[in-house]
This record gives sequence, structure tokens and C-alpha cells, in this order.
Amino acid sequence: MTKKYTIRIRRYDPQTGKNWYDIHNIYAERRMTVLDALNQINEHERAGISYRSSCRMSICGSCGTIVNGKSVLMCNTFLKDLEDPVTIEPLRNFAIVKDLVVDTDAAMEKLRDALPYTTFSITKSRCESVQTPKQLEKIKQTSQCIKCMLCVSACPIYGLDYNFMGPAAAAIAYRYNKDSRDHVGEKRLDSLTGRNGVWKCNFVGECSNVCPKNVDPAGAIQKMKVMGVLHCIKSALKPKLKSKSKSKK
Amino acid sequence: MKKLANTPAPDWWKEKPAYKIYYFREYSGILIAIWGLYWLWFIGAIIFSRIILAYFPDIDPVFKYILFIPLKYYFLFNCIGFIGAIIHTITWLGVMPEILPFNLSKKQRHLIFSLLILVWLGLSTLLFILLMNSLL
Ligand code: SF4
Ligand code: FES
Repeated sequence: MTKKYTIRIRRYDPQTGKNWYDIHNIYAERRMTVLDALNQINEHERAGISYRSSCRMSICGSCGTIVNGKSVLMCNTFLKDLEDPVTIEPLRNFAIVKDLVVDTDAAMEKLRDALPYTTFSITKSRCESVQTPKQLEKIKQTSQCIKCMLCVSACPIYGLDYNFMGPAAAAIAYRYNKDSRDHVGEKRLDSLTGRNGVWKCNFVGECSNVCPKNVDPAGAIQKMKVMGVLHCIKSALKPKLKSKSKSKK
Repeated sequence: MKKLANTPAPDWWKEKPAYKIYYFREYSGILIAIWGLYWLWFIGAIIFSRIILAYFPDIDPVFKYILFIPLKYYFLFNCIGFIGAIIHTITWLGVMPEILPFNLSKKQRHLIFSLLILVWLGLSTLLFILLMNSLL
């Protein structure tokens, strides 16, 4: 059974600097995704719309756009769940390269500041690193992140201050800090609780609402804040503890 | 090749319910601040009036009027504070389960939220009863 949908697509041409909305009417099956609809428009109407996609099964995280005002992955958003007309816009808080393609480099670079690796992987130890199911449980949710940057697009704080690390980097940092095989936690916390770290988060909470993998970056940031406070207290007490133990010696 | 900046519109907070709730939560703090200032003024006015009326009994009536405004509109100011406190407490208790250092399911979070509300209501009632008993 097909139904008629009106699709509005925000276009941008970097050569001319023009910025407009394209309107296409398509007849689509209800189980079609927004990504399928775009493919169909490009195939049948030769519209030449640029967008990113790859896996078509919410794994690669490349097809993020704003559909009817909400940041979503196009490949897991079905037309039947959307109100007509369907408006597709590029992700917010990123510069638009062309049409729906945005430049996420800055946010990706911030993932680097989160030191996204365990110490086990950098010490050249050959032995196995054992992790119990219970330990895995702690990081299971946050390790589902596919770096789609929908959360960054939904974060108003990031939009107002591009120095903020953003929810994706924070969620990943949390994941590695909670990893039982990790020992650089202190160093990571230093960078995360710095000036552009988790303290800039005001807990709007929209990042967790849009995350397609239920990573809950907002919750991760709040937990990191608690960890940050404990870390500050610890590092403030540490020199004293050290000097005490020295004087005892 | 030129890139186009894609920043939020100035009225971004009107877009989604989550953004509005956020503003609601943060701005209810202002109501509480107004209430706090009112109480400071209240206490100040009482202490001040004692001193001033003792030394200058024939003081300017306008000054006296302004000084005693909080005493006249106590009902209004207390209402403002009460509304602010209720909104702020409920919205903050709502985000509280997120801060807990363990992973919780949605159901558990709702449970913790309801427990917190119950504890809050219970404590408030207890305080109210104690206060009433000591006053009467
Ligand atoms: S936390 Fe969720 S929304 Fe953010 S990048 Fe990871 S998967 Fe995407
Ligand atoms: S195409 Fe890979 S996540 Fe949508």
C-alpha cells in the first residue's frame, strides 16, 4: 500500500552559497525509511541531493539529519511514524558542506581529548585481559555509541559554546573510565573536569532523548561530575597524605 | 568551497518540550531568589524600623511605606516562593535518578523518583507538624 508524502529537503550549494528548500512528492510504502525516500528521489528524479549513508541499519552512524525537528538516523526513521510534510535538514551545530552533509571534524577531534583507549591496549602486555560479565555490564550501555553525533546536534550548550566537549566525547570518556582494564582514569578526569569539560553541561537532557543507541550521554555527564568532584577532593588531599606518610618515615 | 554555519536560532528553546522543561526548571530558581530577597528585606525592615522609630519617631511616611512593603504583601511573595519551590523541587527530583552512579532502567528511575517525592512530602509534613506544635 503506497501513500503520498511531501518531502521538504534543505539544500545548500557551496559554489554559489545558495540555500533553499526542495519539495518533492513521492509515493512510498509505509515501511520505507527516510533514507529510502531520499534514495528514491535521487534515483527517479535526478535531484542530486548530497547526503551520507552506508550501512542502512543504524550501525555506521553516518546518516544523521534533523527530520521534522528531531535529530535522527534516517535509516531507522520510518515514514509511517512521521507527520506529513516531512522536513529533512542537516544536523545542527556543524558547518554544512553541501545539502545534508555536515563537517563533524571538530566534534570528532574532541573525542580524542577523551583519551578513548584503555591502558591495557597501550602497555604492550601479551597476556589476556580478563573482564567479568559484571564488569562489562557497567560499560555496556555507553560502549554502544556509534559516534553519529546526533547528541551534539541536539545540545544547545554546544551550539552556544563550541569549546564545550559535547555529550558524545563525555559518554565515551565515561565508558573508558569505568572500564576495569583502564588505568589512565586520573589523567582523563583531569582533562574532562577542565574548563571546557563536563561542568559546562547544564543538563538539558535532550542528548539522551535523541540517542539512537540509548547511550544516555546526559546521565554519563552527570555521573562524571560526581566523579570529578571526588577526583578534586582526592587530589587536594593527596599531597597532604603524601607529606604525612613522608614525615612518618 | 564555502561552508555554511548552522547555529541554533535565537528562539531554539521554544522548539522542543525538553528545552522548555529545562528553562522552566532553571527559571523557577529566580522565583525562589525573589522569595529569599523578600525575607532578607522582611528581617532587615523589622530590625531597621526598631532603630529608626526609636530615634526618629517623625520619619518621612513615604520611606516608612517603602520599608514596610514586604510586610503588606507577604501573601503574594510567599505564593511566588511556594510556586518556585514546588516547580524547582519536582523538576530536580526528576533529574536526580540520572545522577546516581549506577545504571538504572527506566522503570527503576521512575520508582526512585516516586520514592524521592514521597520522602520529600513526608519530611515537609513532619516539619509542618513540628512547627505548628511549637507555635501553638
Ligand atoms: S552518544 Fe548516542 S547520539 Fe551521541 S554519538 Fe553516541 S550513539 Fe550517537
Ligand atoms: S546508514 Fe549507517 S547509520 Fe544510517
